[in-house]
Amino acid sequence: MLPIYICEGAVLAAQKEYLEKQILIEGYDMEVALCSRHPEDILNAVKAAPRRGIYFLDVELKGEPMDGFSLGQEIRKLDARGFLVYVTSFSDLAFETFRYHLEALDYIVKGNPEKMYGGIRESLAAITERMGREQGEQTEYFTVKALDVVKHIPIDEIMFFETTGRTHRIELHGKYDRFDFIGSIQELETQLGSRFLRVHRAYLVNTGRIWELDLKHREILMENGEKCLFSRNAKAKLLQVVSCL
Amino acid sequence: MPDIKIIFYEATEGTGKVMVFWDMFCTNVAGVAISTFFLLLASRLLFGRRLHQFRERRWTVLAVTVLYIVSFALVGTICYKTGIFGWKYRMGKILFNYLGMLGSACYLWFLYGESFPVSWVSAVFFQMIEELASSFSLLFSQSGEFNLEIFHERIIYLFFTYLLTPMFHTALILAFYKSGVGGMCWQWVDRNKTRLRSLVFISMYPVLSQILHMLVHEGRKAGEDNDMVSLMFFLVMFLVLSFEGREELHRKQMKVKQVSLQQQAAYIETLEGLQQEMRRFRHDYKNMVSGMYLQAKEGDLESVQQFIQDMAEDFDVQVGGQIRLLTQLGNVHMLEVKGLLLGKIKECSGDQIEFGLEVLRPLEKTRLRATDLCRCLGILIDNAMDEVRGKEHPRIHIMVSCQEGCTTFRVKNKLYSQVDFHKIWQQGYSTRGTDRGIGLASYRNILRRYEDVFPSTAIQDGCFVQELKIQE
Repeated sequence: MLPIYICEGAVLAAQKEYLEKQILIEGYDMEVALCSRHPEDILNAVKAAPRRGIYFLDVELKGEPMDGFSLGQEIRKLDARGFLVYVTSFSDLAFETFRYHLEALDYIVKGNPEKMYGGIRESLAAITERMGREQGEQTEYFTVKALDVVKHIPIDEIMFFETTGRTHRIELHGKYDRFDFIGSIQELETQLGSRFLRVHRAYLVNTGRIWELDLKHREILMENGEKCLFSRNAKAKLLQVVSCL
Repeated sequence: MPDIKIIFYEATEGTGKVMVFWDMFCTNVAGVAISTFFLLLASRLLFGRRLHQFRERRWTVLAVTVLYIVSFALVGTICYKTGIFGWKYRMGKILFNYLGMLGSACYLWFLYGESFPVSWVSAVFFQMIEELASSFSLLFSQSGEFNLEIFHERIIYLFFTYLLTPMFHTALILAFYKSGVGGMCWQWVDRNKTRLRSLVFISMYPVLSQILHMLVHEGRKAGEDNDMVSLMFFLVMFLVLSFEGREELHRKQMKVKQVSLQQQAAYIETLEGLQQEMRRFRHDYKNMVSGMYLQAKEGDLESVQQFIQDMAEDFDVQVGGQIRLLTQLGNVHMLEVKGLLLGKIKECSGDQIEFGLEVLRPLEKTRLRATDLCRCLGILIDNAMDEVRGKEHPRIHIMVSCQEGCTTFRVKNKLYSQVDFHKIWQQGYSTRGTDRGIGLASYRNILRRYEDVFPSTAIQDGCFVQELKIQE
């Protein structure tokens, strides 16, 4: 059962009532665990029973030491996979920022009760839908911390890793991504296992994404059209891997 | 005054024979008269105005000038005769210089009616010019010493003293005049803050110049190289650099002002737009309220509720889009970035591109130099704008996020065409045809200079997302 936490300055009771009604109607596997206007109460409750939850948080928490964004950050530390839904009275919420840093699911404008209830309904439906999707999902992700955010890249979409000129700096070349992060290519090699092959001092290649080998120039052409080099030592192993594919 | 100095020197060192008092006095009067002439010329040019109440005081001025020349020559001769110039460490000369400058200051003060500090500084300054001129002219003589007993040498001496030196003097004064030193002097005079310090420094001139003189002399003895030359050069460099630095500072301040002006203009524009919207809204509102009144009278509660709801929403939609943008922009405290964003907002509104901006926490500063940051952001935003321009519902979105220890800039635009993702980094590649696409390559080049930047590119949900993270 998913616990629901509500942290809001006003209209607590109506919202709680509506949520409970909606859970009953739709038969969701959820319950309202706590309603409070103080962020500390919410954090303490989550600390006491750490598990995946749903959080309806007000953006503007008047008279409290932290605002909705900071509260979200704290919750994320305790519950990395929870669902954050923001409630605000302004439609000019910086939602991209919330989604970027907190992976917030959605936001609801509370000025209009009709719309607010509609938003709540949609959020609950989206959460259920996503939970269902996650259960059936087989995709493996490569998870890496890039400074203040965590990125999840499907392993199948990674072409190769490349060391850059800078110390401890690795560049990920993916089908839809390309970014720098701090790490070591040796560690990546051991962490990622047999699917990746160290073909060069500077390259760790996803063998499943190799398209072509250019033996003369010692180049590997990847599925997305990118090229990387391989060393003389890696040739035999590469040929073996490619012939297995 | 230096003319006197030269005479004294040559008189003692050159011949060893002492001139009689009267001879010397006459020569000095001639020398001082020339100096006074230049003093008048230089002050006229540098002060940039005529003598104070010249017409009314014509005769007084003349009398004072004569008095000044005579007394100056007299004091000089007496000082020489009593052997003051032979004092240790050139104390006598320094003392005499101060006396002379004091005299000139009083004289200038009388002539122009400026405040005494100003007259004093000018006197010191003219003294400097004069000494510079005579040293310059003496560079051309072989020894700098003349035997005034010999007719031939006396002619050369007179040539140097009364012809070459004045020429240099005129040239120097003209050079200062042309380079606008006078104007700068006035700037300095008008600024009261640093005046006392500079005043003390400038007043030290005779002492300092003597010290320097001795140092140069000693230095020359040590060998071919003279430390003083490099020291002087260093000083000049220092002055030039500090001057340039000040100029640069000034330019920056101008830029800051420009940005804030731009911002104010944008605010005003928004407010005017808002006023228009309000007027329109007010017009509608009256009609709507009268409609509602009828409905309320008939007891149609549902319609009334509907009406109030619509009105609240209308208000939010109609009034405020621009205001929201400017609220976000208010969080950008780096003026350069603010200026860049303002410019882009304007460009976008001209191209009918919707511009989204989110700045949740204030942006104070980043590790990237402001110019580099602006170039990078400019490239990213330009790329985004180029991609969506002229398409359906063009929209770009910019997020600036300052978290603890990390600043993120994120530029997002919808992708309308299929991009060969890995090729965008290559120089010259562009979805928009040839001659484009140097942007991202030079973006990478700028970032290569920094250690703590993390660029990232991604295609997410049909959007092209460019990100720049800076570790603080």
